[in-house]
Amino acid sequence: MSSSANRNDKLDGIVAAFEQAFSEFHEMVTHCKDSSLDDEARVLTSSYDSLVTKISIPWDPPPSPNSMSSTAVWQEEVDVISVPSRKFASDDDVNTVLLNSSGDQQARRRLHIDLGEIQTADFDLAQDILRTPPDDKLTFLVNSVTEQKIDRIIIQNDSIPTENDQEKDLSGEYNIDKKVASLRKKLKGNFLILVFSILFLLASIGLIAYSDSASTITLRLLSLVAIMSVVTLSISFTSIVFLSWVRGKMLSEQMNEIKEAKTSVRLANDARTVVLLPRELVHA
Amino acid sequence: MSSEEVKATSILSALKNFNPFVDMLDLYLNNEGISPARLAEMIHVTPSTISQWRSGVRFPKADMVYHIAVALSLPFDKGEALIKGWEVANTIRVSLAYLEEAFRNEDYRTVISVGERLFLHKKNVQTN
Repeated sequence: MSSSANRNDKLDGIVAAFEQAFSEFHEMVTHCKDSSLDDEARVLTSSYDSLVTKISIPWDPPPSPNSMSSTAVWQEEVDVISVPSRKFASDDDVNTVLLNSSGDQQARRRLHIDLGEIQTADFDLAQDILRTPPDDKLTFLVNSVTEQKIDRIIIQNDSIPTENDQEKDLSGEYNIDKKVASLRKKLKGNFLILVFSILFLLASIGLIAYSDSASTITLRLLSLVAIMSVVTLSISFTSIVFLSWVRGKMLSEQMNEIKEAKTSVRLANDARTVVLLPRELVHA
Repeated sequence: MSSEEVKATSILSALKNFNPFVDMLDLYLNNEGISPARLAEMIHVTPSTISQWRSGVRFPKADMVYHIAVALSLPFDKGEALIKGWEVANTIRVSLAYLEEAFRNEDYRTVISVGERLFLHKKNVQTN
Protein backbone atom coordinates (compact mmCIF):
# COMPACT_ATOMS: atom_id res chain seq x y z
CA MET A 1 0.00 0.00 0.00
CA SER A 2 1.40 3.39 -0.95
CA SER A 3 2.14 6.07 1.63
CA SER A 4 -0.57 8.20 0.06
CA ALA A 5 -3.15 5.46 0.62
CA ASN A 6 -1.91 5.05 4.19
CA ARG A 7 -2.32 8.73 4.77
CA ASN A 8 -5.83 8.71 3.36
CA ASP A 9 -6.78 5.76 5.56
CA LYS A 10 -5.45 7.58 8.60
CA LEU A 11 -7.33 10.71 7.62
CA ASP A 12 -10.55 8.75 7.12
CA GLY A 13 -10.09 7.19 10.56
CA ILE A 14 -9.64 10.55 12.28
CA VAL A 15 -12.59 12.09 10.46
CA ALA A 16 -14.76 9.07 11.31
CA ALA A 17 -13.80 9.38 15.00
CA PHE A 18 -14.75 13.06 15.03
CA GLU A 19 -17.94 12.40 13.12
CA GLN A 20 -18.88 9.83 15.74
CA ALA A 21 -18.26 12.41 18.47
CA PHE A 22 -20.34 15.07 16.74
CA SER A 23 -23.08 12.57 16.00
CA GLU A 24 -23.26 11.87 19.75
CA PHE A 25 -23.24 15.59 20.35
CA HIS A 26 -26.21 16.19 18.05
CA GLU A 27 -28.08 13.35 19.74
CA MET A 28 -27.39 15.09 23.03
CA VAL A 29 -28.78 18.39 21.72
CA THR A 30 -31.89 16.62 20.43
CA HIS A 31 -32.30 14.84 23.75
CA CYS A 32 -32.05 18.16 25.61
CA LYS A 33 -34.70 19.70 23.37
CA ASP A 34 -36.99 16.69 23.79
CA SER A 35 -36.56 16.88 27.55
CA SER A 36 -37.35 20.61 27.64
CA LEU A 37 -33.81 21.41 28.75
CA ASP A 38 -33.89 24.61 26.75
CA ASP A 39 -30.94 26.32 28.43
CA GLU A 40 -28.76 23.28 27.85
CA ALA A 41 -29.82 23.02 24.20
CA ARG A 42 -29.17 26.72 23.68
CA VAL A 43 -25.69 26.64 25.26
CA LEU A 44 -24.68 23.54 23.28
CA THR A 45 -26.00 24.90 20.00
CA SER A 46 -24.23 28.19 20.53
CA SER A 47 -21.00 26.39 21.34
CA TYR A 48 -21.25 24.26 18.18
CA ASP A 49 -22.10 27.25 16.00
CA SER A 50 -19.07 29.04 17.38
CA LEU A 51 -16.87 26.03 16.52
CA VAL A 52 -18.23 25.86 12.96
CA THR A 53 -17.72 29.58 12.51
CA LYS A 54 -14.13 29.47 13.77
CA ILE A 55 -13.16 26.56 11.55
CA SER A 56 -15.04 27.84 8.53
CA ILE A 57 -13.14 31.10 8.25
CA PRO A 58 -11.06 30.89 5.08
CA TRP A 59 -7.46 31.59 5.74
CA ASP A 60 -5.38 33.68 3.42
CA PRO A 61 -1.70 34.11 4.12
CA PRO A 62 -1.05 37.44 5.83
CA PRO A 63 0.37 40.04 3.44
CA SER A 64 4.07 40.66 3.70
CA PRO A 65 5.01 44.23 4.70
CA ASN A 66 6.41 44.88 1.21
CA SER A 67 3.24 43.84 -0.56
CA MET A 68 0.94 45.72 1.78
CA SER A 69 -0.96 48.42 -0.02
CA SER A 70 -1.09 52.00 1.22
CA THR A 71 -4.72 51.34 2.16
CA ALA A 72 -3.70 48.50 4.44
CA VAL A 73 -1.06 50.63 6.14
CA TRP A 74 -3.61 53.32 6.61
CA GLN A 75 -6.08 50.86 8.19
CA GLU A 76 -3.58 50.15 10.91
CA GLU A 77 -3.78 53.74 12.09
CA VAL A 78 -7.53 53.82 12.30
CA ASP A 79 -9.30 53.65 15.62
CA VAL A 80 -12.91 54.30 14.86
CA ILE A 81 -14.55 51.99 12.39
CA SER A 82 -18.05 51.80 11.10
CA VAL A 83 -19.81 49.14 9.11
CA PRO A 84 -22.58 50.89 7.27
CA SER A 85 -25.78 49.20 6.42
CA ARG A 86 -26.76 49.98 2.88
CA LYS A 87 -29.78 47.92 2.12
CA PHE A 88 -31.65 45.85 4.64
CA ALA A 89 -34.82 44.73 2.94
CA SER A 90 -36.59 43.87 6.16
CA ASP A 91 -35.93 42.25 9.49
CA ASP A 92 -37.35 38.97 8.20
CA ASP A 93 -35.20 39.05 5.13
CA VAL A 94 -31.81 39.78 6.60
CA ASN A 95 -30.61 36.23 6.16
CA THR A 96 -30.60 36.54 2.43
CA VAL A 97 -30.21 40.22 1.83
CA LEU A 98 -27.05 41.46 0.19
CA LEU A 99 -25.48 44.65 1.25
CA ASN A 100 -24.80 46.30 -2.06
CA SER A 101 -21.66 48.05 -2.97
CA SER A 102 -19.62 48.85 -6.02
CA GLY A 103 -16.68 46.81 -4.77
CA ASP A 104 -14.56 44.67 -6.97
CA GLN A 105 -15.58 41.08 -6.32
CA GLN A 106 -12.08 39.83 -7.05
CA ALA A 107 -10.54 42.10 -4.48
CA ARG A 108 -12.79 41.20 -1.60
CA ARG A 109 -11.19 40.33 1.67
CA ARG A 110 -12.75 38.66 4.60
CA LEU A 111 -12.89 40.15 8.00
CA HIS A 112 -14.06 38.43 11.11
CA ILE A 113 -16.13 40.82 13.15
CA ASP A 114 -17.02 40.19 16.73
CA LEU A 115 -20.18 42.02 17.55
CA GLY A 116 -20.22 41.49 21.26
CA GLU A 117 -21.54 38.79 23.48
CA ILE A 118 -23.91 36.96 21.19
CA GLN A 119 -23.00 38.00 17.71
CA THR A 120 -20.31 36.77 15.42
CA ALA A 121 -20.36 37.43 11.75
CA ASP A 122 -18.24 37.15 8.69
CA PHE A 123 -18.42 39.90 6.17
CA ASP A 124 -16.92 40.01 2.77
CA LEU A 125 -15.29 43.36 2.56
CA ALA A 126 -14.54 45.30 -0.53
CA GLN A 127 -10.98 46.30 -1.04
CA ASP A 128 -12.02 49.77 -2.05
CA ILE A 129 -12.20 51.28 1.38
CA LEU A 130 -13.30 54.86 1.62
CA ARG A 131 -12.33 57.41 4.17
CA THR A 132 -14.85 59.91 5.34
CA PRO A 133 -13.10 63.00 6.62
CA PRO A 134 -12.88 64.78 8.92
CA ASP A 135 -14.04 62.60 11.81
CA ASP A 136 -11.58 59.72 11.41
CA LYS A 137 -14.25 57.30 10.34
CA LEU A 138 -13.38 54.37 8.15
CA THR A 139 -16.18 53.23 5.91
CA PHE A 140 -16.15 49.65 4.69
CA LEU A 141 -18.30 48.82 1.74
CA VAL A 142 -19.85 45.53 2.69
CA ASN A 143 -20.41 43.39 -0.38
CA SER A 144 -22.36 40.54 1.05
CA VAL A 145 -23.17 38.90 4.30
CA THR A 146 -22.36 35.25 4.24
CA GLU A 147 -22.87 34.24 7.84
CA GLN A 148 -26.16 32.58 8.64
CA LYS A 149 -26.41 34.33 11.99
CA ILE A 150 -26.77 37.71 10.41
CA ASP A 151 -30.31 37.92 11.71
CA ARG A 152 -28.88 38.67 15.12
CA ILE A 153 -27.05 41.72 13.94
CA ILE A 154 -28.50 45.16 14.01
CA ILE A 155 -26.57 47.56 11.88
CA GLN A 156 -27.78 51.08 11.69
CA ASN A 157 -26.99 53.74 9.18
CA ASP A 158 -23.71 55.48 9.03
CA SER A 159 -24.44 58.96 10.27
CA ILE A 160 -22.24 60.60 12.84
CA PRO A 161 -23.29 60.07 16.48
CA THR A 162 -25.09 63.07 17.89
CA GLU A 163 -23.96 64.88 21.02
CA ASN A 164 -26.89 63.34 22.83
CA ASP A 165 -25.88 59.79 21.82
CA GLN A 166 -22.36 60.40 22.98
CA GLU A 167 -23.63 61.35 26.40
CA LYS A 168 -25.89 58.30 26.56
CA ASP A 169 -23.29 55.61 25.95
CA LEU A 170 -20.02 55.26 27.79
CA SER A 171 -18.77 52.31 25.77
CA GLY A 172 -16.86 54.33 23.24
CA GLU A 173 -13.44 55.74 23.65
CA TYR A 174 -14.53 59.00 22.12
CA ASN A 175 -17.42 59.36 24.55
CA ILE A 176 -15.24 58.73 27.56
CA ASP A 177 -12.79 61.33 26.37
CA LYS A 178 -15.62 63.82 26.16
CA LYS A 179 -16.95 62.81 29.56
CA VAL A 180 -13.60 63.19 31.23
CA ALA A 181 -13.07 66.60 29.64
CA SER A 182 -16.51 67.67 30.77
CA LEU A 183 -15.89 66.44 34.31
CA ARG A 184 -12.55 68.19 34.49
CA LYS A 185 -14.24 71.39 33.49
CA LYS A 186 -16.83 70.94 36.22
CA LEU A 187 -14.07 70.10 38.64
CA LYS A 188 -12.41 73.47 38.05
CA GLY A 189 -15.73 75.19 38.77
CA ASN A 190 -16.16 73.21 41.94
CA PHE A 191 -12.72 74.20 43.17
CA LEU A 192 -13.62 77.86 42.71
CA ILE A 193 -16.74 77.28 44.78
CA LEU A 194 -14.62 75.62 47.43
CA VAL A 195 -12.28 78.62 47.57
CA PHE A 196 -15.25 80.92 48.04
CA SER A 197 -16.60 78.62 50.76
CA ILE A 198 -13.32 78.86 52.63
CA LEU A 199 -13.45 82.63 52.36
CA PHE A 200 -16.99 82.55 53.73
CA LEU A 201 -15.82 80.35 56.57
CA LEU A 202 -13.07 82.82 57.45
CA ALA A 203 -15.64 85.60 57.33
CA SER A 204 -17.91 83.64 59.66
CA ILE A 205 -15.04 83.21 62.15
CA GLY A 206 -14.66 86.97 62.06
CA LEU A 207 -18.40 87.23 62.65
CA ILE A 208 -18.13 84.95 65.68
CA ALA A 209 -15.48 87.21 67.14
CA TYR A 210 -17.75 90.17 66.45
CA SER A 211 -20.82 88.40 67.92
CA ASP A 212 -18.98 87.77 71.18
CA SER A 213 -18.65 91.45 71.53
CA ALA A 214 -22.09 92.20 70.04
CA SER A 215 -24.27 94.11 72.33
CA THR A 216 -27.70 92.71 71.41
CA ILE A 217 -29.24 89.20 71.30
CA THR A 218 -30.52 89.79 67.75
CA LEU A 219 -27.04 90.39 66.40
CA ARG A 220 -25.75 87.26 68.12
CA LEU A 221 -28.57 85.09 66.64
CA LEU A 222 -28.04 86.51 63.17
CA SER A 223 -24.35 85.75 63.23
CA LEU A 224 -25.06 82.18 64.45
CA VAL A 225 -27.41 81.54 61.51
CA ALA A 226 -24.82 82.95 59.10
CA ILE A 227 -22.12 80.68 60.55
CA MET A 228 -24.28 77.54 60.27
CA SER A 229 -25.26 78.33 56.65
CA VAL A 230 -21.71 78.88 55.55
CA VAL A 231 -20.46 75.72 57.27
CA THR A 232 -23.24 73.64 55.64
CA LEU A 233 -22.42 75.07 52.23
CA SER A 234 -18.74 74.35 52.73
CA ILE A 235 -19.42 70.70 53.59
CA SER A 236 -21.75 70.29 50.59
CA PHE A 237 -19.30 71.80 48.14
CA THR A 238 -16.45 69.74 49.53
CA SER A 239 -18.51 66.56 49.00
CA ILE A 240 -19.38 67.54 45.44
CA VAL A 241 -15.75 68.23 44.63
CA PHE A 242 -14.65 64.92 46.13
CA LEU A 243 -17.30 62.88 44.29
CA SER A 244 -16.50 64.58 40.99
CA TRP A 245 -12.84 63.81 41.49
CA VAL A 246 -13.57 60.12 42.16
CA ARG A 247 -15.83 59.87 39.12
CA GLY A 248 -13.30 61.59 36.89
CA LYS A 249 -10.58 59.24 38.09
CA MET A 250 -12.71 56.16 37.38
CA LEU A 251 -13.54 57.35 33.89
CA SER A 252 -9.90 58.13 33.19
CA GLU A 253 -8.94 54.59 34.18
CA GLN A 254 -11.68 53.16 31.99
CA MET A 255 -10.45 55.23 29.08
CA ASN A 256 -6.90 54.00 29.53
CA GLU A 257 -8.06 50.38 29.64
CA ILE A 258 -9.85 50.82 26.36
CA LYS A 259 -6.83 52.40 24.77
CA GLU A 260 -4.60 49.60 25.98
CA ALA A 261 -6.97 46.94 24.69
CA LYS A 262 -6.40 48.36 21.22
CA THR A 263 -9.97 47.86 20.25
CA SER A 264 -11.67 50.04 17.80
CA VAL A 265 -15.03 51.24 18.73
CA ARG A 266 -17.77 52.66 16.70
CA LEU A 267 -21.11 53.79 18.02
CA ALA A 268 -24.08 53.82 15.73
CA ASN A 269 -26.07 56.95 15.85
CA ASP A 270 -28.93 55.45 17.85
CA ALA A 271 -26.54 54.05 20.47
CA ARG A 272 -28.01 50.57 20.02
CA THR A 273 -25.12 49.12 18.07
CA VAL A 274 -21.52 48.94 19.09
CA VAL A 275 -19.11 47.38 16.64
CA LEU A 276 -15.89 46.20 18.19
CA LEU A 277 -13.00 45.43 15.93
CA PRO A 278 -9.76 44.20 17.47
CA ARG A 279 -7.25 46.15 15.49
CA GLU A 280 -5.19 43.18 14.43
CA LEU A 281 -8.24 41.63 12.76
CA VAL A 282 -8.35 44.49 10.30
CA HIS A 283 -5.50 42.65 8.59
CA ALA A 284 -7.09 39.21 8.76
CA MET B 1 4.99 30.57 10.87
CA SER B 2 3.50 29.38 7.58
CA SER B 3 -0.14 30.04 6.74
CA GLU B 4 -0.82 26.28 6.92
CA GLU B 5 0.63 26.14 10.42
CA VAL B 6 -1.47 29.13 11.44
CA LYS B 7 -4.63 27.56 10.12
CA ALA B 8 -3.85 24.16 11.65
CA THR B 9 -3.24 25.89 15.00
CA SER B 10 -6.55 27.68 14.67
CA ILE B 11 -8.45 24.45 13.93
CA LEU B 12 -6.80 22.58 16.79
CA SER B 13 -7.50 25.42 19.18
CA ALA B 14 -11.17 25.61 18.14
CA LEU B 15 -11.61 21.85 18.59
CA LYS B 16 -9.86 21.91 21.98
CA ASN B 17 -12.15 24.69 23.15
CA PHE B 18 -15.25 22.75 22.13
CA ASN B 19 -16.14 20.97 25.35
CA PRO B 20 -19.81 20.16 26.02
CA PHE B 21 -18.92 18.95 29.52
CA VAL B 22 -17.49 22.34 30.46
CA ASP B 23 -20.49 24.05 28.82
CA MET B 24 -22.85 22.05 31.02
CA LEU B 25 -20.69 22.47 34.13
CA ASP B 26 -20.53 26.24 33.72
CA LEU B 27 -24.26 26.42 33.06
CA TYR B 28 -25.12 24.49 36.21
CA LEU B 29 -22.61 26.35 38.39
CA ASN B 30 -24.12 29.58 37.15
CA ASN B 31 -27.70 28.40 37.64
CA GLU B 32 -27.00 27.17 41.17
CA GLY B 33 -24.92 30.24 42.05
CA ILE B 34 -22.00 28.09 43.12
CA SER B 35 -18.43 29.21 42.51
CA PRO B 36 -15.84 26.81 41.10
CA ALA B 37 -13.90 27.13 44.36
CA ARG B 38 -16.98 26.11 46.36
CA LEU B 39 -17.55 23.13 44.05
CA ALA B 40 -13.93 22.11 44.60
CA GLU B 41 -14.58 22.04 48.35
CA MET B 42 -17.75 20.04 47.89
CA ILE B 43 -16.15 17.30 45.82
CA HIS B 44 -12.83 17.37 47.66
CA VAL B 45 -10.52 18.50 44.89
CA THR B 46 -8.33 21.59 44.68
CA PRO B 47 -9.66 24.76 43.02
CA SER B 48 -6.88 24.50 40.44
CA THR B 49 -8.19 21.08 39.39
CA ILE B 50 -11.57 22.60 38.59
CA SER B 51 -9.83 25.44 36.80
CA GLN B 52 -7.81 22.95 34.72
CA TRP B 53 -10.97 21.01 33.82
CA ARG B 54 -12.64 24.17 32.65
CA SER B 55 -9.66 25.31 30.60
CA GLY B 56 -9.21 21.86 29.05
CA VAL B 57 -5.75 21.30 30.52
CA ARG B 58 -7.00 18.24 32.38
CA PHE B 59 -9.98 15.98 31.95
CA PRO B 60 -12.00 14.61 34.90
CA LYS B 61 -12.50 10.93 35.48
CA ALA B 62 -16.02 9.58 35.03
CA ASP B 63 -16.65 9.17 38.77
CA MET B 64 -15.95 12.85 39.34
CA VAL B 65 -18.83 13.73 37.03
CA TYR B 66 -21.12 11.70 39.26
CA HIS B 67 -19.79 13.51 42.35
CA ILE B 68 -20.39 16.85 40.67
CA ALA B 69 -23.99 15.94 39.81
CA VAL B 70 -24.61 14.89 43.42
CA ALA B 71 -22.87 17.97 44.88
CA LEU B 72 -24.95 20.29 42.71
CA SER B 73 -28.13 18.32 43.51
CA LEU B 74 -28.92 18.08 39.83
CA PRO B 75 -32.19 16.40 38.86
CA PHE B 76 -31.90 13.23 36.82
CA ASP B 77 -32.25 14.77 33.35
CA LYS B 78 -29.67 17.47 34.05
CA GLY B 79 -27.29 14.97 35.58
CA GLU B 80 -27.72 12.92 32.44
CA ALA B 81 -26.91 15.95 30.28
CA LEU B 82 -23.73 16.54 32.30
CA ILE B 83 -22.66 12.93 31.89
CA LYS B 84 -23.50 12.92 28.19
CA GLY B 85 -21.48 16.13 27.79
CA TRP B 86 -18.56 14.39 29.46
CA GLU B 87 -18.89 11.38 27.13
CA VAL B 88 -18.91 13.56 24.01
CA ALA B 89 -15.99 15.64 25.29
CA ASN B 90 -14.08 12.44 26.01
CA THR B 91 -14.64 11.08 22.49
CA ILE B 92 -13.46 14.38 21.05
CA ARG B 93 -10.45 14.36 23.34
CA VAL B 94 -9.40 10.90 22.12
CA SER B 95 -9.88 11.92 18.47
CA LEU B 96 -7.98 15.10 19.12
CA ALA B 97 -4.94 13.12 20.22
CA TYR B 98 -4.44 11.94 16.61
CA LEU B 99 -4.62 15.47 15.31
CA GLU B 100 -2.21 16.70 17.95
CA GLU B 101 0.23 14.01 16.93
CA ALA B 102 -0.08 15.06 13.28
CA PHE B 103 0.50 18.67 14.35
CA ARG B 104 3.60 17.75 16.33
CA ASN B 105 4.92 15.96 13.22
CA GLU B 106 4.28 19.20 11.30
CA ASP B 107 1.67 17.41 9.19
CA TYR B 108 -0.49 20.53 9.05
CA ARG B 109 -2.21 19.34 5.89
CA THR B 110 -3.87 16.49 7.83
CA VAL B 111 -5.18 18.86 10.49
CA ILE B 112 -6.56 21.23 7.87
CA SER B 113 -8.10 18.40 5.84
CA VAL B 114 -9.93 17.09 8.90
CA GLY B 115 -11.23 20.57 9.71
CA GLU B 116 -12.39 21.09 6.16
CA ARG B 117 -14.03 17.70 5.83
CA LEU B 118 -15.80 18.09 9.14
CA PHE B 119 -17.07 21.63 8.84
CA LEU B 120 -16.52 23.51 5.63
CA HIS B 121 -19.34 21.79 3.77
CA LYS B 122 -21.57 22.27 6.80
CA LYS B 123 -21.03 25.95 7.07
CA ASN B 124 -24.64 26.82 6.55
CA VAL B 125 -26.03 23.97 8.60
CA GLN B 126 -27.17 24.83 12.06
CA THR B 127 -28.26 22.59 14.84
CA ASN B 128 -31.82 23.78 14.89
